[in-house]
Amino acid sequence: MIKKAFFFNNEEGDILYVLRELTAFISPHCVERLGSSKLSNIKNIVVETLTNSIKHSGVKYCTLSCEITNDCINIVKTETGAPFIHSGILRWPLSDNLLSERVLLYKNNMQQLFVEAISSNSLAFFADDSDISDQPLELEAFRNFGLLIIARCSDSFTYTYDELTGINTFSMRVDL
Amino acid sequence: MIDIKDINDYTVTTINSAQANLKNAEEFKQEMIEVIDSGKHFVIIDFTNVEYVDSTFLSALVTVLKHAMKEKGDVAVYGLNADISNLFSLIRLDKAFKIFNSLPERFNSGSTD
Repeated sequence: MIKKAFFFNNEEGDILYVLRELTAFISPHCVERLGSSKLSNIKNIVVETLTNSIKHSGVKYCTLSCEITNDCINIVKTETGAPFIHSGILRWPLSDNLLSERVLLYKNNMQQLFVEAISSNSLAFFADDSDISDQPLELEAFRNFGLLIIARCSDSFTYTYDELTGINTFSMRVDL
Repeated sequence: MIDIKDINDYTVTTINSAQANLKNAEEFKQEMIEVIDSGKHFVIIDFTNVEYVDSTFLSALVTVLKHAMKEKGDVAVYGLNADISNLFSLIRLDKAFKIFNSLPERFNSGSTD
């Protein structure tokens, strides 16, 4: 297992720098096993995770770590900004009745994003396809879909909020 | 942040930034809406210079498409790198935008000239 951490100062202009650094770290170790579409997925995860940090965390920096194992690549973002909430549905600590119950976060006519509590302080995100038909994409619903992108690009996408330390941890796994 | 060039029956707008993100999404949207409001209703956006796109910029792109459609026009994209192309298909934006690998002879299918 090899791992590297990247500091990000929550400035839009530096996304490209972190993206290039992380790609340069990954490529020599596993680019052949990863394939081009999964490498694209990782890049899109990185972009959206850093964008999410700029838009929602309210703090000056975050840390992104990348861990390569025999089976997968784990991307983990940590910061101490505002915890993830959604329209008053999610409060911390999460109530028991949210456990194993999927809450719809986003939907258009082709795909939807759900979140499910997996413990009192952790959530898992799931994206799936709605009825895919020949209809054009519903453009009116097409906004605030950064989390959908992360979920679609990941094999696993979870979020943990530690109330004691105030640390938010977003964890994305891409299988090799 | 865009260069504008007329080709046959459509207009090409070239994004002059490697980063298409929340920093320049609003500027891009305003410039594109100005292009459409000036009467150029069929536009192909050239992404050749763009290394990555974030969700905020994609939202702006969708707003531009909706604006063009209100004017009975259309917006397509060209020059997507593999990462952006993968993203378009992953979130079904390829169902909303025509994607060109090379600039077409004509884009305005309703054109009579």
